[in-house]
Amino acid sequence: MREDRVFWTILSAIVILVLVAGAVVALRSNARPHQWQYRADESKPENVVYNAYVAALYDDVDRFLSYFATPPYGDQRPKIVHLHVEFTRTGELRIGTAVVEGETAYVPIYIVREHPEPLLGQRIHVEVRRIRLTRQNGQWRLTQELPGIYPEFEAIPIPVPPHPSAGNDNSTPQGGD
Amino acid sequence: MRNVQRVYIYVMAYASLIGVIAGLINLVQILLRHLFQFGFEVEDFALWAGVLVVTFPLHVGHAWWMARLVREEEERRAALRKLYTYAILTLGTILTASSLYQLLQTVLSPALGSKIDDLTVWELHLLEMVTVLLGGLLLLEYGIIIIRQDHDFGQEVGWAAIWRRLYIFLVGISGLYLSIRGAIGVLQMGYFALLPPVALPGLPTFLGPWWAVPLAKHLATLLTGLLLWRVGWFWEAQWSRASAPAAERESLLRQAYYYVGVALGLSVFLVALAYLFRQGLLWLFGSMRGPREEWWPSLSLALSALPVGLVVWLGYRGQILPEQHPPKEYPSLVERLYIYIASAVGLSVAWLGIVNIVRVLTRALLWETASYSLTTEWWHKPLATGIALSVVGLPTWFWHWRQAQQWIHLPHVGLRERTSLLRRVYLYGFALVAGLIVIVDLSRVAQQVWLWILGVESQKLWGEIVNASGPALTAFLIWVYHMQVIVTDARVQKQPDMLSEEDVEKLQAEKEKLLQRLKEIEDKLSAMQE
Repeated sequence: MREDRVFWTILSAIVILVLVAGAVVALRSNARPHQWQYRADESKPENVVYNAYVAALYDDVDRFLSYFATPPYGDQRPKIVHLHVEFTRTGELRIGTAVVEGETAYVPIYIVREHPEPLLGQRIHVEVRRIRLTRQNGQWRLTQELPGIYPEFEAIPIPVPPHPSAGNDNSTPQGGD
Repeated sequence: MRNVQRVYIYVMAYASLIGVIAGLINLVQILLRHLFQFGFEVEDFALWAGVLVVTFPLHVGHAWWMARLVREEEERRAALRKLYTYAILTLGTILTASSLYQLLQTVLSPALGSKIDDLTVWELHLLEMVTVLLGGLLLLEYGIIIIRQDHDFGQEVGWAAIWRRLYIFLVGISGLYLSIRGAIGVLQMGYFALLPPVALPGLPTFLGPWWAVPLAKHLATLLTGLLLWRVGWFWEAQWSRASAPAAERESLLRQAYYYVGVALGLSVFLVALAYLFRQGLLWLFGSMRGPREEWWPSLSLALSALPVGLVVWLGYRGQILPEQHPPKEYPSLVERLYIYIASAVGLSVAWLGIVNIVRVLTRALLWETASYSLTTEWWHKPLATGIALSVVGLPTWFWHWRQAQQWIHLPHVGLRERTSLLRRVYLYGFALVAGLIVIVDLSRVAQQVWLWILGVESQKLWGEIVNASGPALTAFLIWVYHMQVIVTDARVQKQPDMLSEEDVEKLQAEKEKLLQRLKEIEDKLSAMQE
């Protein structure tokens, strides 16, 4: 293979591509989750949804939960300790413009998913989810969970039963008169 | 005795080598996780450190044993040694290719705009892939060192040569498949750039463009595939040269490499063509409805597969054309296998298409009698599918079957082809399947006729005839054609003046012997006269 120019050209192209792609990743600010900015204007329902995602990205549990009208994910016992935003399960997530109906607002979320076909090519699927918000004390608050966010709950310590041999001296009567 | 010893040494050396590589890769990955503050897995560390401690000295010991044995010429040329070498290269290739794919995908996805879940996890994953890549490259280098030591690359004989050819064949064909897959994917993404598969409102993207991850996957597949493909193509082309040893030039695996390439390219091209033809007909019938995301992904896939399949087909066909047997010689096994398989696939596809067309026609003719509640569009899909399959299948069958029919008319070898196992399997296979379909479908019709005669269930009569007549009629025609070919073959075999190639060879040998004897007698006579 030493004398095969085509092979070495392909290999060189791969190495150059990896280096260039690595440099692009290092330079791209939006590749890093911590570069996300909160939107200041929370009077718009879509900005509330957006900020809830940003809070989840920062793993800011308190701020994330503050965007909900009632605590999501059950009664939060055990407590949520971390938030995971699963990008790999979603191809693209777009937050649409809200439709306000009095004290209720609906924000469409477009989730684009790509499913590889078994042999060749891929299928594209778009799921539209309408997220419901309600106005609470003049502020828009979410009334349902957001897609793509997975909470990690505090581990509940499992009570360990005492070892059978632990209390033998006191509890087991010794035989013999 | 020597072979038993070899089996022991090479199996032990290979098993211990796997242990060494697995131990090294896992230990480095555990240390990397520790460096990235993901904790230190004590149990895993102990496991892989234990594996490395046991397998490393074992491998060194057996490698030393091998190095002593390899001083002998016989050992260097042993088939088991080559199996060991190419098993190392195969493992190295799998590790290198899979990690290279993962590495490319991991780097390209965020470079194209997709968001990284966790930068630390991403960096760790990247380094883990680099570790596997280095492990794979280490194995490849190890295998290449053994090949260099043996000094017989390309000159092996028997099984020793087969292991090398098999490795190159597998690398080349898997590379070709990955390249086709990747190229089609990249082209499809290009079509999506021109016309997106989904009509999304122009809103800000939250997680990055949806196409970043699939495009990265396809580019990674294409580049990894091209690298593997080139290894196969380079070596097979080296042995295509006139200066190459005849054993290499004529080897079955080398021929199979090119014919598999032709078959892959042709299949991709024809499937795409059939799909485009079907969609075109549906569009003509006015049946292309529904949202864009329902039809555009499949249509763009076919539009991408068409040029890729064509390039592969023509490229590989260009390689085999100069190497095909001269017109008057008997073709190789691989060539014959290819021709019969391609004929069988072509005929099966055309058969399926014709059944669809005949079903539509019989239903159209008999629908009033059958009293079916038919909508106006009931015939669109089966007719479009039927025509598309027939248009693609019939020329494929005709083109290849004509070649097989030409062989039976070759002087001296025609009879050999008529009696060949491949031809018989093909002919009797189709005759059997067609015959069974005729039996089943005609029995269904006969059952309904009997019920009608007996005054029971007469309503189903026309329905059964409509359903069964299409397949039965097509199968009957196919059965008749193949039976006629079988009968002709049998009749020609019985003709006394027709000699098989084997008979001709025997007679030639006998003639040579007699001429030799005659020459000896003449020499003796002339010696006596002198």
